[in-house]
Amino acid sequence: MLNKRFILNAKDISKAVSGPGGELTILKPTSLAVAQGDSLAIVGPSGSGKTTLLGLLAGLDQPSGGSVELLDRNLSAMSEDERAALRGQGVGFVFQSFHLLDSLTAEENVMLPLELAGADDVVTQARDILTRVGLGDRLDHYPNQLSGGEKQRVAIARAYAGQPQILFADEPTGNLDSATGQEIINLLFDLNQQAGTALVLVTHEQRLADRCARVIRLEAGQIQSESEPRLVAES
Amino acid sequence: MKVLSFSLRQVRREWRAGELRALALALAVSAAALTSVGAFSERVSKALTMGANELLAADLVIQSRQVVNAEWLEEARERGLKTARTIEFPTVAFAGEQSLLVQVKGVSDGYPLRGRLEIASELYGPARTATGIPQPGQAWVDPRVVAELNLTAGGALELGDQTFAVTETIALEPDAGGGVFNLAPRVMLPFGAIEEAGLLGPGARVQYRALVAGEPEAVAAFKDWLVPNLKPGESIQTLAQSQQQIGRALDRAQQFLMLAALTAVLLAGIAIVIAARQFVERHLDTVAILRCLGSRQNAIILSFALVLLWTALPALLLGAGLGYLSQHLLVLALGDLLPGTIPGAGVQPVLVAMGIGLLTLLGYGVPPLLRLRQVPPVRVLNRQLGDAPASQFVGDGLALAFSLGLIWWLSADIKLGAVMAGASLGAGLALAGGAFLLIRLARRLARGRTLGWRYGVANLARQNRGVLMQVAGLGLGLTAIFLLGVIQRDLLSGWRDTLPANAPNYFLINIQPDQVETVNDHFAANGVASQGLFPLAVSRLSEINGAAPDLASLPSDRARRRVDGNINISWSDELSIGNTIIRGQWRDPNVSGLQISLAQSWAESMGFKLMDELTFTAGGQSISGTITSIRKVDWDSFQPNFFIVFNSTLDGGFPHTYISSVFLPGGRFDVIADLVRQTPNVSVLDIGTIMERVRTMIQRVSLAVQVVFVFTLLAGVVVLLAALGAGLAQRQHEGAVMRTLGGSGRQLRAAIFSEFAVIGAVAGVLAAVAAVIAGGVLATQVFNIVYQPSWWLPALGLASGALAIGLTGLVGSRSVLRTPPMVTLRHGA
Repeated sequence: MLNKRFILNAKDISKAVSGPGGELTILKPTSLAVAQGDSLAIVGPSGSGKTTLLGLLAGLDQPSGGSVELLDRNLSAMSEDERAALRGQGVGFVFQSFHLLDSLTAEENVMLPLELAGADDVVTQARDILTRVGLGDRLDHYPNQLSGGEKQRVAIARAYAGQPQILFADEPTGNLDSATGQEIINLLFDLNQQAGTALVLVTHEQRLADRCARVIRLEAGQIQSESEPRLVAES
Repeated sequence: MKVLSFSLRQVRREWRAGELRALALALAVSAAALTSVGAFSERVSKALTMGANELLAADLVIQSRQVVNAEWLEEARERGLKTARTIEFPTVAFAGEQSLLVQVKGVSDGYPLRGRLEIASELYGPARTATGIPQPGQAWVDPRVVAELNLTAGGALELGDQTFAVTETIALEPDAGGGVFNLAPRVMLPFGAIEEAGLLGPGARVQYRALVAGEPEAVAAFKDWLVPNLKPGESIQTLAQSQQQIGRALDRAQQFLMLAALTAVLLAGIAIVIAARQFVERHLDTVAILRCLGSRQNAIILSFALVLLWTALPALLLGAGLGYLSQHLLVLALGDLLPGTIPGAGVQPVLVAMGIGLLTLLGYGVPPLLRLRQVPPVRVLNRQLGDAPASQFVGDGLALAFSLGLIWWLSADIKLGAVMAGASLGAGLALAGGAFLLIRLARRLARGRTLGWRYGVANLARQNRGVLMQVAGLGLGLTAIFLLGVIQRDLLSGWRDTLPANAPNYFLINIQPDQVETVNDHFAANGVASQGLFPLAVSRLSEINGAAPDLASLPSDRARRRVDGNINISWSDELSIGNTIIRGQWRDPNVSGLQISLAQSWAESMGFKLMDELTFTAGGQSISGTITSIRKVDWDSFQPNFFIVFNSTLDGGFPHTYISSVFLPGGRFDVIADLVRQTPNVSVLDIGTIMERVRTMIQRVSLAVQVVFVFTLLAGVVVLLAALGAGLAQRQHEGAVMRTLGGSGRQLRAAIFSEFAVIGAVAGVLAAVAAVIAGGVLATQVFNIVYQPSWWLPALGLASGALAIGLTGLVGSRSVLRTPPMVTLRHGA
């Protein structure tokens, strides 16, 4: 553990929002670290603060307290444009509801992060990765012409297109049936292993959490347990 | 479901979502435009009607070039009516070495019968109401006479053979002619003094009037008796006929204003359609859930319709209030163009505007709601259900029918309505076609440019209905704005250009044949370019095609009156400037004898056609000729023009005089004054003053149009906001996704700008073309103005549309840039 390089390091991060009944704490001070190639599942009941934690770790939202260091950069000290640039260079995302842009074909959706980062030869890269996720024959299809599983494959291809060092996934199988969900889990972890990407995911699904090296259980905005998944599986 | 309370609660909840705000804004602007124009029009027509009594100084006026038949006055007095007489003519007044063209008015005891004459003993001193008329030997004068002739109190004024003591200045004269034809300054004398002064030579341009006033019934009965008895050359002036010049100009102004208001209403309609549709789209799920929970279809539709109504009512009230206030600006803009005090407007314009506002809501806002009827409860399980586009067509059809009806009703002019409806339909179709092409081409357009351009333009390809609505909505808005611009610029300047700067400003009338040389020599000696001398013979139409005119066979009363009265004829070897032959030829080689050219309007109103033969008689002599041409005459040219022109000189002493027109720069009136000393019978008409009044009026009317134009522009902005709001949620979501994937603010802005700039360019160029065409049709068919199309407008439309809509899109999409990327985790697509 000591030799591992941490690419994500959160210290005492918390989140509070003001609501009609005064200030509401969604996430109590939490610390965690993710090393290169590591995989971490965040589990917990609805409203436990999983998505909030993921958003803070990925720099999509700003914590009320504490600090996040992502890819050796302190997110709190960066502007939104700088954070966006950092995400474009080293971070991938997979969402429950895919978030593909309807106006773009599968290929163009995959090209998008590459283009945003100013990469060269984006078409070849996009085609390669789409072929790897099994959609080589769906390049010119629009999202509304694809099935749910295919959409999530495009989203995974988009997430890996920029060769990210870390990938955040929010309920990646939440909108899929069991068989398709299993395919997506396999794909996600295959690519993860091939690229050596760190993986942080939020899930309800035990079989998905089981595939991760570590599992964090959140309840009422607080980490209740942190365990090695194999132990969870064996117990 | 308690529909009423549900709908009231719903308004509060819904207000934050943009649609109701756009709807309220659209209705407020439309009500403001309609109220201001309505109230303004009402005040103007009230002012004209009420002021007209005073403007006549009587209830009824008999007007003639000869002394009015004394019998008429006697008959009026026998019927218990009050009477008075006036006589009016232009002449030159002298005070020592100074001279001035004045308009003399002789008035009899009892003048004025209506309104009041105000006089002041000192120049511009406190005015008081006159209790009588000037005493013999006295003259009351316009302050301008005192100023320009350097008169002192009691100073002497020479008119003809007589000298008058100036004892009062006139502060207010009820029947001054007011407004436009405020001619040379007034000199008022007692009626009897006119003949003594020897001012009325033969052929002098004199206007005799007999004034009658009394109980309305008695006046009406007298009028009924009088009309069949009127002698040739006599006419009756009543309220409706007075102030025609102002009336015509204000008519045109009101047409312009109504056009601007109508445009605002139609634009508001577009905004309402867009907002209502968006409102409906957003509530498809709510309706499905309400249906699941047991609400009846009609109750749901009714409650949503009520939400729109509760939003509309305060907005309409506010708009109408603003409009009511702003109509004061319109009245201010007109300045002293309107006579006397202008009565306030009633509440009617407010009620009408609010009524039309509610109809607008019904016509544009309610049809989209009908779509909610098609939402099945099962939508809660499958969101694709209930998205039936068929009902959109019903809604579109209703809105279209409503627009056409509204145009028809508000334009109150079949041609104007037809042009507006045609322009809206044509522009709408062209814009829909353009949007369709754009959607088809967007993918190709998007290739190989910068990232922002590619994503922005590619976005157009997907949105289909959204893009169609935005291009059509924005395009119609721009069409209206461009059209008003065209009207402002081209039509008003076309109208203004009918008055060239060096147009003749004096007309000389009653020049005798033996004075022609004197006049020509005088002008030559003074270096004045005269427009030439034109013969004028006052005659009667004695035969039509060889037989005495059969009054019964003439097409109108106007034609019969013409045959009954005097007709001016002229002759010339050449066709005059400003005249165009539209039928026949100026000199027909196949016709022997004299040939006649008729002005189109005169020929048509008399029912005459080519090859008809007319005989005119004057002083016991007759001349006959064949109609060989019909001319179009530019009456606005202020050149001497005639209805009837023989194409060769009439020899043989057919009695006639000459008229001429000259342009004299300011300060050269001495040339005219000298001429009048040599030829005292010549009457001088100062039309420079008239033209100045017309110019001022056009400027003021333009100003009034601009006030309403602001509302139209505002309505265009509301359309833009509504159209922007329509796709905002989607755009916010996509912006957040791009942010999450590493997009910078600059990249996002470039994408948004590209998308809207392309929409703006397409809408702008099509709108400009539509406006140029509609402007041409309006100019030639409705306003009768020479039109020079601005062919550069499409280029301007393209550039300004792209820039304005692109920038507005950026500003309106600020929230897209502000949407935190966290949204991608919180909300589904």
